[in-house]
This record gives sequence, C-alpha cells and structure tokens, in this order.
Amino acid sequence: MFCLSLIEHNLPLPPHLLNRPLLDAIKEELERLFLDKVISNLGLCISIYDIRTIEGGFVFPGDGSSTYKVVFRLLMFRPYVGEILCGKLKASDANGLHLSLGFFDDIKVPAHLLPHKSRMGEDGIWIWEHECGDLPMDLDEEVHFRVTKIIYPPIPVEQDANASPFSPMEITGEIYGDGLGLLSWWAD
Amino acid sequence: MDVGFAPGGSSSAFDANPRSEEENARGGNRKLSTAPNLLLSSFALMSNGTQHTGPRVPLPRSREEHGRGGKLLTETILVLRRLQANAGALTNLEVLEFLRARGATSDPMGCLGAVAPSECKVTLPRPKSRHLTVLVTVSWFWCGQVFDYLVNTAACNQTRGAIDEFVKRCEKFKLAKAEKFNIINLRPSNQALIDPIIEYCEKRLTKDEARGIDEVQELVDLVLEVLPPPPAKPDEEMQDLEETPTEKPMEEN
Repeated sequence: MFCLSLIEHNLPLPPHLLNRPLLDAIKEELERLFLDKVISNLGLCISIYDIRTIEGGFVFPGDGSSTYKVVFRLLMFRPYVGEILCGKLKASDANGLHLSLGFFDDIKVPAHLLPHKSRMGEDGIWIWEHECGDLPMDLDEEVHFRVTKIIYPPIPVEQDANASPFSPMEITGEIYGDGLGLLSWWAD
Repeated sequence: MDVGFAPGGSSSAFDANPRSEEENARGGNRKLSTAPNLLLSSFALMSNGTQHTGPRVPLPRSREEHGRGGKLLTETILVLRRLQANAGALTNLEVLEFLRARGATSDPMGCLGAVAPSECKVTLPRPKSRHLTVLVTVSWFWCGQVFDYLVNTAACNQTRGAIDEFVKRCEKFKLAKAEKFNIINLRPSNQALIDPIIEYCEKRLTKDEARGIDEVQELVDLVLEVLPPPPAKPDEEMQDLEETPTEKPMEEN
C-alpha cells in the first residue's frame, strides 16, 4: 500500500525561511510543496520520509530565494494492481459502490465488478443474492476489495459548474471473488 | 536514473523568477493564459529540450474566487525529477512506526504542534471552479488520518520480530513478496480471506485431503499464530450501554 519514491528537485527556498536551520527550512518547504498532493504515476504523497542530499544554495540574479538541489524520499500511497485492501463503504448508487480509506476517498467499485447476482435495492443499497440468503451491502461496513486499476486522469481544462469535483487519482476495485466484499460475510 | 525527463537544470535554464504567464508558457503545450493546466507531474512539462518554466507561477486571482470558506489554495507548477519511482515498499507497521516517531497520536489535541500538516489531513478539498487546481494545500492542523486508518488495522499490534518470524516461516510456501506484504498488512484469519491474496492458490498450495495435506490451512494457522490480531473494535452495544448511564444524570439535572 505504501512505498518510497526517490525524488530530486530544485527547490527555491523563500527568503522568509533563511533565518531557520537549513534542514528544517528545506523540510518545511518540501512539505508545503508535496504533502497531500497526488503525483502522477507515483501516488498520493503522505510524508517526507528523509532527505538524502542537499546541494547548491545558489542565488540567481534578481531573486531573493536561494535554490537548492534536494534529493529526498517521499512516502507515497500507491497500492499495486491486485492488492487486497480494506476500506469502508461510504456511498452506494446505481453505478456501484464508493469506498473510502479515511485518508483516501476516490475508490470506486463499478456495478459489473460486484459479486455475481447482485441487485440494487430500493434504498440504493446493493444486495448480493446468495444461496444462503440476501446479503445487503450496508453503508459504513468494512469491505475487502482487490485493486484492479489506478488511473490519474488529466486535469480537465473546462468543467461544468455542477460537475463532481475533479479527483487526481482514482482507484477502481472489485469485490468479485471468494474472500472479497464485506468482512462480515467471511469472518469467523 | 533520468526517466526521460526535463533537461537537468543548468542555471540559465532555471528561471526562478517568472515574470508573466505568457513567458512561462513557452516550451510546452500548456496554455497558461487561458486555462491554467497545472500539474505536479514527474513527466516533463515541456518538450524537446526547450527552457524550463519557473518553479512557481503566482496566478492573478483572488483567493475567494475559488476558495471554499477561506481555504488557502496555491497553484504551482513543479518540475521534479523522479530518480526512483519505487525505492522500497513499506508494510503498514513501518509506516505506523514512522508516523509515531514523527509525533502523530490518536489523541486529537496531541497532534497540534508536534506534527505539521504532514501526517495530518490528507483529503483534498476539490474546488469546482473552472480554474482548476490539482494541488490544494490545506494548511490547518487535523488529526493524522493516515495514522487513524493504520491504528485500526492489524498493524497496530504488530512487532518487527513477529513480521520477521512470519517471513522466515512462510518460506516453504514460496509466496511472492507482494503476497507476503499483503498477508502481513491484512492478517487474514481464515482460508476464505487468504484466497484472494494468493494468485492461483489452488495450483500453488496443495490441498489433498486423502493425504492430510492442507497447505492453505497451514498458512492460515501460521498467520494466526505469529501475527497478533487487530485491535478489537468497540462493540456498538457496549458503547450504548456506556453512554446511557452518563446521560441519565444530565437529564435529571
């Protein structure tokens, strides 16, 4: 679920941080730039893991900030395709389920990746028609799902006023298979 | 390891002080003046070796136009070089220990001061405005949501010793590294839960009732024995029972 990524970046250090110890100032600036942000194909940045090297400190003409070349590692949230994760069922509609990990919300399970013979109930809750009986997929339940796809959609240039907010990283999951789906279905 | 990236910065190519949007739009397919196509991307934002754009483009818009309740939005173009996309995977336990070392706690008030917005709120409020920002910085403190998530998983009670022992003892099952990670993170407690984790489970782990071999069950037993169980979730009925005694005195008063 989590991995490290080694990044090199030319970081301009704004002048108001020049009185701070260098390492702290650089760390703060890196956090400001990268934390809680999605980097395309690398995932969601959770934290700065460590700083490997700092070089430079040049001041370019006409500029008040000094520029450092920093090599550091970021702690990224990037599940691999095929990983089994455990999330909470946040919402459910005709398109499928929406799951959440608390810190990451854009997980969708489309309707065709639900268990075989699932149907939508009247209140918007999906129900799995199992031979032992109907099993509803209630909200706020823990769900095990398998990651099938992670996409980083490009930023739309134009957006309708009432379109859903843009999500830079979307995970598509499936709960089709033994052991997947609500934890209460398989727990002892 | 340069992954087909922007030309390494010589000082002349690195424009640290952008003058205008049009100036920064050179060298790319982006039209900054009409629609700020901003992306924090590890891929080159420019093509064929033309000049870099500056590291930051302050866009002449007011905060209120695309803020929500005064949240601070910054629009930034960053050119970074991805040296190693995967410099190592971490188990949930390692991430949890890392966050703990940085001072994240499950106590909401304890989070203030020790931990920067770093390990704290990670959800992105996504503005619906036309001038989009992918990168939305929320600069207020919040209890560590990643920490909260991990504390409720099996990683909470694990130790490095237990993980090492598990890895050593599951050698004979010849599991892939990713599968071992997944088992350590999820701690499946029965066969049904382990089944989706292991690819081609039926072929790789023999299950022969006649000879009394059930490798899947052996693996499950190993997990149950070596890896500690996740923290018990508070029973909802117990919670209700606890709440009513305290509510009654309030109502009487």
